[in-house]
Amino acid sequence: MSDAPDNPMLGLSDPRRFLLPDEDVREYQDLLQAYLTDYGARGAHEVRQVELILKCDYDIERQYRMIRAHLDPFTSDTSSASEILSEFHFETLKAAGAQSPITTRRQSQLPAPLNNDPRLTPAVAARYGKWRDLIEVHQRELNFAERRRRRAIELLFTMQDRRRRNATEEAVVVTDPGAE
Amino acid sequence: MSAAANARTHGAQSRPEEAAVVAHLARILDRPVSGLDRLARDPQTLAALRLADCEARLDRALEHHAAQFATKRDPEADRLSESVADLLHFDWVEDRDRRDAARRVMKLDQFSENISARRKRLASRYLREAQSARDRALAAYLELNIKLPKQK
Repeated sequence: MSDAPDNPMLGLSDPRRFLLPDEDVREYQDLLQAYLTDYGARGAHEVRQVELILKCDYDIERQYRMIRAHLDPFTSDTSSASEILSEFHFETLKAAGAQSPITTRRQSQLPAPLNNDPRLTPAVAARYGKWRDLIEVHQRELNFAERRRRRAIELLFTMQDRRRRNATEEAVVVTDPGAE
Repeated sequence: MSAAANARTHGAQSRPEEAAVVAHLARILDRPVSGLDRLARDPQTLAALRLADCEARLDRALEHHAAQFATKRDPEADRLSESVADLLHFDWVEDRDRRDAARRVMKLDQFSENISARRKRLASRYLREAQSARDRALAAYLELNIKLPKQK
């Protein structure tokens, strides 16, 4: 395999097509450089493999973030249909000068986010019950992403092992006869 | 056209962009790609071509997967729901039709979430398939292009 090109990012996919709006491109690129150094990637194939490992890590973090968002009791949860019908019913029954129920809801003061407060457990459990199907989808994705990650790391180590063997002159692989 | 055929023709499983395949091929071969590379028939170059195609498909599957998991709802179902909801506000619409519109808005709300969940599952399957195909293509390419030392 040839040495790493001058620009290890050459030929890799554009991160902006993979990242979500709440993820930073610069942070991704910095992390990729750090991964390339930590894994000791050399050559285009190993660099690509490290990129895939990083994308698995991003996917894992994404799924955790989405599960947290679904369980957050302070997240506004009104469906668009409920809002539409609520607004319609209000207009039908509107008294002069009354405020829209949706406006009233938005203006209400939400409590400040608390940390480690067991009083929030019932609210979190209620959210889990409501979004259980979607949370299960995310949990399944989490398992898939972790399996992909393990497989990607395994492949990287296999490629690096081949590279090291090829770099050693007259290398011979000696297997343990007891293991056969 | 069946849903599977539609996905292969238009969707996440359709042929990847030529530019993406060429970029991967250049990276794999470690040199600029010429027209002759696409016509080559030797096993090593064919394996490189196959790997480049699989890499481009994997990139697209990753992007599609990210896009599907970024949303909880289907935008087209939501737009349809808003159109139906307009009927609630017109004076000339009869009460019976308004009640029907309200029922449809509620059903479309649930439909939007169900469609989004289904798309997530499909995106996950496409990603797993693209990853497996790419890993097999990589293994085949390494087998043909990188000779291992003798085994004793």
